[in-house]
Amino acid sequence: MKKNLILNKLPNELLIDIATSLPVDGIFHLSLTCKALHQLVRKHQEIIYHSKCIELGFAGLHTQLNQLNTEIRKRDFLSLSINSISDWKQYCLFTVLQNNLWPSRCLEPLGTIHHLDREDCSVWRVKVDTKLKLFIYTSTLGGLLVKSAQDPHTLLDFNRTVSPFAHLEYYKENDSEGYASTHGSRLDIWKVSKVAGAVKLDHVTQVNVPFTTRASRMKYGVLSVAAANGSHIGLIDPKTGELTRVINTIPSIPSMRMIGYIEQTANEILICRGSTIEIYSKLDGSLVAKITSESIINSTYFLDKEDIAQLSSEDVIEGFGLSFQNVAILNPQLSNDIGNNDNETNTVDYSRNYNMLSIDEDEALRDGIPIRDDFNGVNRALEMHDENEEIDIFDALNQNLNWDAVHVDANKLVAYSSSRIMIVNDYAQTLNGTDSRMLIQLPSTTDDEPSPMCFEHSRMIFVLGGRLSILPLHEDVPSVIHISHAHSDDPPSALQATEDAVILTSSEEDDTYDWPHCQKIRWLDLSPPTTFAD
Amino acid sequence: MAQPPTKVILLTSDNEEFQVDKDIAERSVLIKNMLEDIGESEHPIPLPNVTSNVFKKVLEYCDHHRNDPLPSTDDNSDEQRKRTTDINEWDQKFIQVDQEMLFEIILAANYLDIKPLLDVGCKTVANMIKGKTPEEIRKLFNIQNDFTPEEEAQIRKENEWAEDR
Repeated sequence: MKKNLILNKLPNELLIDIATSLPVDGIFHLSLTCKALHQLVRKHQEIIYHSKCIELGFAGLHTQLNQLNTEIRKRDFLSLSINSISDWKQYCLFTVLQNNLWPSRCLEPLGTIHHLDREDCSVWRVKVDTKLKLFIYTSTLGGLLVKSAQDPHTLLDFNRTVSPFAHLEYYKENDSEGYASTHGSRLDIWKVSKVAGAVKLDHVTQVNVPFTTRASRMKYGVLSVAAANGSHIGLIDPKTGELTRVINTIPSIPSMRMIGYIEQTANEILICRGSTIEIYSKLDGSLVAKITSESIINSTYFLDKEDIAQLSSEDVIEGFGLSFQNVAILNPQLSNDIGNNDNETNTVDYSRNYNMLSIDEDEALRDGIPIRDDFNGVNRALEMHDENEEIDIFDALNQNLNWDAVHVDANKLVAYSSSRIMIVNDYAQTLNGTDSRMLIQLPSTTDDEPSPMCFEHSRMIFVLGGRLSILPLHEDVPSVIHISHAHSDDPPSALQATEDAVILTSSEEDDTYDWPHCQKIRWLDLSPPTTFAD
Repeated sequence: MAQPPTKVILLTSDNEEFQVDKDIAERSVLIKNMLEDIGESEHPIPLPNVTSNVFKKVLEYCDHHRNDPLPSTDDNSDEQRKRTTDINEWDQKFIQVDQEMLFEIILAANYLDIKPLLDVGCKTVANMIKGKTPEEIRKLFNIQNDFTPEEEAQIRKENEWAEDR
């Protein structure tokens, strides 16, 4: 009779070694074969899954189990039934589940779409506090409102003095309170807290800074604001409204100018100024690093579909739905090496196709305007784009080089413009100038305005050609981008991602010229379909 | 002129003597330590846990890898902890043996403390298991399913969300 070799021969330590080199489902299948193996895996599951966590990069070599709860608390669960992690198995399986199911499985609709369905909703910016389960938003009609994120979305508190179209920032101080800043005609700080079960909104103070302000960002307990003329950054303590530091920025070209976007890490302030990203130290205000348009790009990637508008959208759901199409991200140099078939687009084709500016080519052709003026090397149609508008041709040519936003999540930096995305895998190295950068060239779209962008929980969310796009960046080289089937003419005015959901505004009126827009909060719940059972 | 390589004599459990170049034998940390302990000696080193047919295979591996850098002893180094189930081509061919021999090689590698070979063996077993259903794994290793249907259903239920990863 054939012997049961695996159990008779191999000592437990080797079986554990073998189990550890299996993928997660393999470990499970092995433990399902017989009682002895089940018990063995169960008895040593902590060793097995701890190694697995390290192998898969979910934990560092020296991460302690008791640190995981802090780790997990950093993640925001809007709908998932897990509050604390007590062992490595739980942590490992949970992380695998999230990485695998969200959002790559979103090809098929899963999860739920919730939105605040009130006729008078005119949401402009929205933030979500997942611990207090709140939506905090500013309105196109003015006002700061706090609503429950849970059905039936009761209005909990509001203040009508905030000006219309105010920018909103929100920073969670702890599990029961947070600070909001509204930036409209004036800059105000608000405290949102839950006291004795009731959520309330308190005005902390109106912030006075000695310059007019433009962009603002609140993170890490600091509200940072950029001066409208681009020469200062102010750091403000949201608890008191006190200006703690003014950083004088050093613009590269004297006439350059406006700070388009401001972002923070724990120790630095990042600003987008045209095509340059400047990084300043929060501690001493010094310029730490600068990423210019001349900076070296180590690799350039393209989407495998250049015309994303060809995505099927027969059953267009208004706004953004939950079904996504995967579009691969290719490095044309690499893919050319692999196969050499005739249909392949080479690097040159890619660059040509992708470097088009967002102009109305059809119109230009109809009017008999040559699009490309080879002599001057510019796109002529640009000049004719809108007769009533004076367009600085250099500005227009640079337009797609200007960064609309820069975000840092964990140790990754992402800069975004409507034509490209720059990814720096090791942000810490940017600070000493030795980082490696990759670029994803985006196809030209007819988007009028730049999309808002957010980069949270290793996922970058933005809108491309009117479609919600999710770019998972938990791996070093992104390979796929999820682009929603549904299309919306109006870009959302706000986007936020939690661990398992995307919260955005959506305008559902056909007639977008209707004023004011009726914008609602839409919440795409992308959490895994099964709950975390134990 | 180059010295002829020093030889060591090794004695397997079935009393077969092997004359082996010292550097090949020292791929085994066990033998290396023994040689350090006893110093120069004419006496064969006994290997009571290894039979000659298995030892021949092990020597084949050590001979092919005689010039490899020795694995780092730093247990915490990232490379060591990072397990992949990739096996290089030569090792893959080398390890294409029947199951009995495969397990014998693993045991010998474990006993002789030849970490890279042990890794190849364990990875091979892992690769055999990978992607198989529990039933297929049972068949592969001739494992008797001693769960009652209820027990099996219970375990499946506990882990159903881990399926299909």
